[in-house]
Amino acid sequence: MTRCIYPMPEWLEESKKLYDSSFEKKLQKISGHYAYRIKAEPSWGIDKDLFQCSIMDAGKLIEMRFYTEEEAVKEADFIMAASAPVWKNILTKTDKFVAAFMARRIKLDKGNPVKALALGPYAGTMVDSLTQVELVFPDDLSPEEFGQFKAAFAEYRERAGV
Amino acid sequence: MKIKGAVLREANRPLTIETLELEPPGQGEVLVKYVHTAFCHSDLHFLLGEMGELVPYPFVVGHETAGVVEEVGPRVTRVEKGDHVTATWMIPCGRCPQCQRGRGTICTGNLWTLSAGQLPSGATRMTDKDGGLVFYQTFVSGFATHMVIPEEGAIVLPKELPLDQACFMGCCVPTGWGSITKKAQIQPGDSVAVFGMGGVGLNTVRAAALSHANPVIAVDIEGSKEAIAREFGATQFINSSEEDPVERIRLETGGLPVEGLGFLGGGVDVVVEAIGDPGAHIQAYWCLAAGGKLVVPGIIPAGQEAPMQLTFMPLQEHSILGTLYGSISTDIDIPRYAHMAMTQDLKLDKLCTKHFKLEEINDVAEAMKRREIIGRWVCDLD
Ligand SMILES: [Zn+2]
Ligand SMILES: [Zn+2]
Repeated sequence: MTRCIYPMPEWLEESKKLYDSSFEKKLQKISGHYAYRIKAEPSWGIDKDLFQCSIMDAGKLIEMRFYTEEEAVKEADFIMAASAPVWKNILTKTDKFVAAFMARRIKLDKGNPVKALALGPYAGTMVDSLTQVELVFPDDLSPEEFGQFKAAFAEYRERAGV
Repeated sequence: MKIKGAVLREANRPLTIETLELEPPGQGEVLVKYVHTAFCHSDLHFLLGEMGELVPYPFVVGHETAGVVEEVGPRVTRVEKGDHVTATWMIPCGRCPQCQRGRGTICTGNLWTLSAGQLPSGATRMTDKDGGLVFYQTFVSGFATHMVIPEEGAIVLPKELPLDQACFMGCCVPTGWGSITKKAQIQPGDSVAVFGMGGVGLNTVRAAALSHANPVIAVDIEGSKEAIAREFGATQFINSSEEDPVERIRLETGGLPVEGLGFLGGGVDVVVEAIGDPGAHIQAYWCLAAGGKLVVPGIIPAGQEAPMQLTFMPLQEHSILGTLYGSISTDIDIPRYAHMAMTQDLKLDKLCTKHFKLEEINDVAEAMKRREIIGRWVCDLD
């Protein structure tokens, strides 16, 4: 199992590769352009907000990568915003998407809330598709590893313009 | 593993009996072989779309079930393989404001995953032949040969209790008993009327009778339900298709008919409306004595209204009290009801009036629509 650090781009690249037909079938009712805003968390090496986006068409994963804020605001049907620790809880299934959405731990920056909530029944499967790799989080890293991650992540953001 | 289940793909369409793939139990979950599941009026609400799209389609229906634990997932501590269990259709999260006030049946923490057709953990465990997700009806999905449920939703029952009676512990026994003992908090000698002689109504009548209520007046639109209502302890039966229950109850409890006002005095201390019908709701309210409580476990279909004239609500201190799952604590009270079923005459052997096969479920739904079901009809899932 590939080890990826959240939210390095390799995580999304690997998850996209591993997204197979069983996910396409389970998520066949999902279409749209979804953006997840990961709010800045400097202690995690995330100095400014990051936009994780995926385009779904009847369960097929057309695209999944990080966007610039301009791209996300212009193109996404939904933008769901939460702090990095909240997204960690969702991805580790210690919190549930619907519960977090209703309790406003996840806020909707763009889109129709009722339609966004319709994602709820499929959220667990979407999390499964994003956690097929061994996903570790910045607060799980040793100080040395965190230092390396922080530098690599800053370099990636600079290079990719996200 | 492959299981068989009754799937609702959209409202007002027949259920389809499908072979589904069920994942093994995850952490804190158990695999239960369902043996008997009863058809409750709330299932009909779901079939007719009267719950206002509470759960996403497609889902496996049913919520009044009993079975045997066949496998336990990692870190399960409360149940063991071989235990007889019922499955509860609400599971308190323990952390939300309602749970912290001891009102787990209206838990808002787990309500959101319930309404997403998931288990409280957010998991879904079923897929159909095309690999599409199939959702849970309220954490139970009883009309299936097997199901994965969280251990918190599996309440262990004594093995001496026959499983075709144990299934009633999942809904109609707690709802009926809780309506009387928890919500109405009835006292010996209180007068009671119960509208609707379905599974919940009959258990409400039984709870009232065993709590020494007097009289216990049963009201139903079908005269054919009189015998079973009396069997469960009704002292009077009113066929509301033939006579006005308000007039009869007010007159029999000492009320005086007054021109322009209806009645002065009379009425009963507690009325339980176990149908979920706007007309019955209004009639039930007008049967209340001064200080009386209208307790409402019956669910009025989404979109229907009950226009009420409430002038006397403050003047006579009438209360209208909704109750979900009898406002019980599932963990504490369901084992108590099961114990009572072993030691007192709850009449559960008289409640199951017919057994049916899963393939006959659409016929059972039609029979319930035509109000032909007396007692509870129970599906054999073997
Ligand atoms: Zn709760
Ligand atoms: Zn029920």
